[in-house]
Amino acid sequence: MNSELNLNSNLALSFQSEIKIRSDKLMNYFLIGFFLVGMIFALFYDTWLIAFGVGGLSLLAYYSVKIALPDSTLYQYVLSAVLAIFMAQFIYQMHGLFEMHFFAFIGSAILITYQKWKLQIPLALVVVVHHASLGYLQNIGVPNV
Amino acid sequence: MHWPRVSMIFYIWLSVIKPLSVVTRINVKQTEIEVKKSIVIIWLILLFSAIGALFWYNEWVYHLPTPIPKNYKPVDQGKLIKLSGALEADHSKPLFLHFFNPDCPCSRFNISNFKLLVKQYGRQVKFVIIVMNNKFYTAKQIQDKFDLDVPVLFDASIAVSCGVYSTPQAVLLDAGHKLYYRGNYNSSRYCTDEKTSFAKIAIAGLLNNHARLVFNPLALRAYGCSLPNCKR
Repeated sequence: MNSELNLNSNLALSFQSEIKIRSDKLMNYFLIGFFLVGMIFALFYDTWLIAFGVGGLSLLAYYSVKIALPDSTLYQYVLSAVLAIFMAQFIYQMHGLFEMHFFAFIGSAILITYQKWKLQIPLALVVVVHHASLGYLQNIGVPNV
Repeated sequence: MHWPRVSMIFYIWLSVIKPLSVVTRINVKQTEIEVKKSIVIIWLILLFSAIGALFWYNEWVYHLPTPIPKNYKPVDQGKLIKLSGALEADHSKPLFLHFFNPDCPCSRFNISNFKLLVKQYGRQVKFVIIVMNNKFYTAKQIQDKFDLDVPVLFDASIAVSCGVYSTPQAVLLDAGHKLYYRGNYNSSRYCTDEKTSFAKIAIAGLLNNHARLVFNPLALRAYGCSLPNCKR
């Protein structure tokens, strides 16, 4: 009975570990892709500082936490926030272009690969705070928002 | 040998000292992880603050007025502007000069706004694009950027005559070629603020025969890219 339980638990652990490894690998491609998309958007309005600065700092945040605390899941939560920051970056770079808001959904869909619902929280928080604060500023008539 | 004493010591070591040392080792490792976590959190706060600061800095830069050139001579409202070529002879309509630099982000921001002005007032006002750039462009290339069929000139001396030292800038001359307005299109970078659509207000004022409109400093103080290389 005990050995059967242990076997099941080992299988579950190995399955989770597989998911983590596969998802981490995928994120390397997605993050580099997002960074390059920022470069392409910079061509429209010369937002190179934002593309290199914000994109670069976001990547630095993700990879530095992943390297410093490899056994912790903190880097996955950082990744979630970073995907939301990329959305904000793209909206900024394209002067609020409506279509750029869909990067929030793309980010959310990408995170599903980790099979962990809690990872949606940082992304949702950043998106809500970003939209609510800028929406409020627009509504009270602050210029240039 | 005092076997009972030895066994007693061994018993104490096994039951008290060894577990204690294991607990201490675990505690040290846990403390190390906690310290590491705290450092990482501080590091993340720094990085995210830097990201916020970058956004703020980028906005702030665009709110700074363009530095006034050393030899700049201001041109007063109402002054007769001497033009050359075909423009000089054309006194049929008021003349709207759009100073445009393809390399200037601000210039590109307001392309759609300029197109709207042409669409709205194209019959009553003659619109001309003055290209302020040292690179080689053809008139067709510039017209394609605007998707408009308006005259394009490459004469930078017109900017000096009108007192223009940045892009994008609007200059409105009445039919007699007297300066009616020289300034910004809008206080908003993307020309979205209707209340400060200065160029549009100026055209409406001229067409409604208002002798002279008084504009606030936000309209007349030049914002945008310096000439000709938009370094600031």
